[in-house]
Amino acid sequence: MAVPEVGRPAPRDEEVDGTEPSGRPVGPADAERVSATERLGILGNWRLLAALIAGGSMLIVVATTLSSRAFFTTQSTSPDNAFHADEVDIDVANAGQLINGAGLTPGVQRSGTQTITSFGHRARLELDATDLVGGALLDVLVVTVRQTAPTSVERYSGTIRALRDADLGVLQAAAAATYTVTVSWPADRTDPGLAGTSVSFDFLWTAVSVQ
Amino acid sequence: MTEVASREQKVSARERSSWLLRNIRVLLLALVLLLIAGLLLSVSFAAFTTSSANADNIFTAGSLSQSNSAANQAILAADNMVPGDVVQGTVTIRNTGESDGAFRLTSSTPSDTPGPFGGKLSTVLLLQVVQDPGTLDTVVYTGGLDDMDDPVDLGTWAGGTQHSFKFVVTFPEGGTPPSPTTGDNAFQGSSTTVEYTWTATST
Repeated sequence: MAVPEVGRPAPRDEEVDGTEPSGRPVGPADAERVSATERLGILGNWRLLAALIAGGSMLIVVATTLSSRAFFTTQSTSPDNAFHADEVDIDVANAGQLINGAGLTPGVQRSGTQTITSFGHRARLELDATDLVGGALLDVLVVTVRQTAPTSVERYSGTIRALRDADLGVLQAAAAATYTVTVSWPADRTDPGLAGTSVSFDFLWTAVSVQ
Repeated sequence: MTEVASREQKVSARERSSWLLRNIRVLLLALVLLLIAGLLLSVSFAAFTTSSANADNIFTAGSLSQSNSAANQAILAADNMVPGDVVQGTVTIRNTGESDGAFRLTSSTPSDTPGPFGGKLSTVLLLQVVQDPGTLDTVVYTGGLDDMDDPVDLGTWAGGTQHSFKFVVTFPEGGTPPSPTTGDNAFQGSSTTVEYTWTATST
């Protein structure tokens, strides 16, 4: 019986009894051949290797066939779909104090004139009394807003406190409108408690775009 | 003498194995080339042959083409838009080929020019695309003008068929702006442009 050397694989059966199945004596060269084949591992199995290569080649052929499919295509474009947002812009002719309300008494009224010009999109004009400071007089004084140009029409009449989003009509693009604003103290509102009081507020002109 | 020969044989076998391991890639490549060559040879080799003909088998490639009623022009456009405005346009696409085609619609990334207050119009405009308006009224897209990131599948059309599409763009009202430069006011003076592409692929 052959004793395997250190570092070498154990001999196969035919090496153990010193003969191959054919009866040919097994020599050291045969042992070396077996050892080399085993060292090759899977690469030593030529049938398996050939099967792997054949399978891989078929996969390549299939992948190439699938990836090379061709289609007809056609295309058209619709460019330059453009959208532009307009602007709303107004100019007030009188940007300072519109009415001097000093020394008001029952039965007295004061007026001022304002012209609004639009430089942008068609817009609806609104008027508000903002930053109200004061007491009861805000509910006593009456504001009247009358459009005088291009048409004559009263747009608002009511107390200062109630002046909220008053509709002053629609102003066309590049058009102007003139308004006379009057603040009056009704003659019948003679409450002595109002004497010496004061109020202040701002007129706020707003343009809101309309379609 | 015999021992020397055996050693030489042993060395030779070892060298062969080593050589095989070193050159295994070359060997594999050679095997693949041999396999391919074998396949080609098996295809190209012929021995005795006989043949009969079936003549006049005519093959004609199908065609795929389309017509666009708004080719190289805008489907819709709008100047001086303000919140609440709605604009619309219609386009008709026809499969003028003989083959069936899978049609789809794609949008370019909108090109924005912000207004003085910085708003980008494409981010607020809404788009709805209706296929065959008045008949099927199929909404194939609804969303932001700048949100059509994926192609819109319009289905497979037989050769010679056509479909119309209504594009509706809305500038939604965002309520009273909190300030002269924010809210809807941010979009004053802004503009945007977008391109639509119609693509058909034979099926």
